[in-house]
Amino acid sequence: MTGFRRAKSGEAVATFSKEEARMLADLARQVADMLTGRADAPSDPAIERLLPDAYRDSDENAAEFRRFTEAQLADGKVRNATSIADALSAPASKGKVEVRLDLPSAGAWVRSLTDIRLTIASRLGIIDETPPTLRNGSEEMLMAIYEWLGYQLETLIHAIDR
Amino acid sequence: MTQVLDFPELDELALTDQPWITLVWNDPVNLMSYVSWVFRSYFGFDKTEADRLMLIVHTEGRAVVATGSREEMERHVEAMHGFGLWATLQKADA
Repeated sequence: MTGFRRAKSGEAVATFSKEEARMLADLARQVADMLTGRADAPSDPAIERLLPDAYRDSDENAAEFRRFTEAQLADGKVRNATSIADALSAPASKGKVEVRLDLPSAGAWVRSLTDIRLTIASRLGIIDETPPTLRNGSEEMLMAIYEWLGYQLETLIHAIDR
Repeated sequence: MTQVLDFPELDELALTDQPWITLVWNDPVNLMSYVSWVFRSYFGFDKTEADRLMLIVHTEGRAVVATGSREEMERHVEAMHGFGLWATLQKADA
């Protein structure tokens, strides 16, 4: 498994297999679609985690804050996810897709990789430090993807850390 | 140089504007390295302070990462949500 590294140019660089690139682009698009269509799924726990209440002690304050900030916050998350999908849509060369990120792009990537991980964690019921009970093969696959995303995020942070 | 005397009310405003805090809460998803990086890149903390706050979040379940006016804390909370961290604001004495 390979992750991001820091190139001499200062960019964070990673090379994904065609399959990895397609999978990650697909996950990013799913998160973007979920956020765009959030009005249709108001009590989705993943959406609640991505756009949480800012006040714990006042529903009224939380609702007011949401009224003024949610659209902008959600739009930013959709843009970040779209930038991942776009960067991975470059044609593969010898079965590989190379991604080179300057600092602003890397900022979008770390945020959106986090959003994707939070969404998967919500779907798998990861609520504390203990490993979740995986009920079938697709949940096992999702868990493996979740861990792969964690590795990509960790290496990307390392690559942009000054 | 005597201008300072013309603004005694500013000090009072500053004091009454301070009773809000930004809290970051522990979650099982965000990586420790990421949380520390967010604290450094957004708040400008040095590595020692960012790691200290990250470990408080991790071990105690939450940490106060900023204190100031309500408007400032709302900006911080919105930024933390942009990073995917679970943050809230409240009055400091609540």
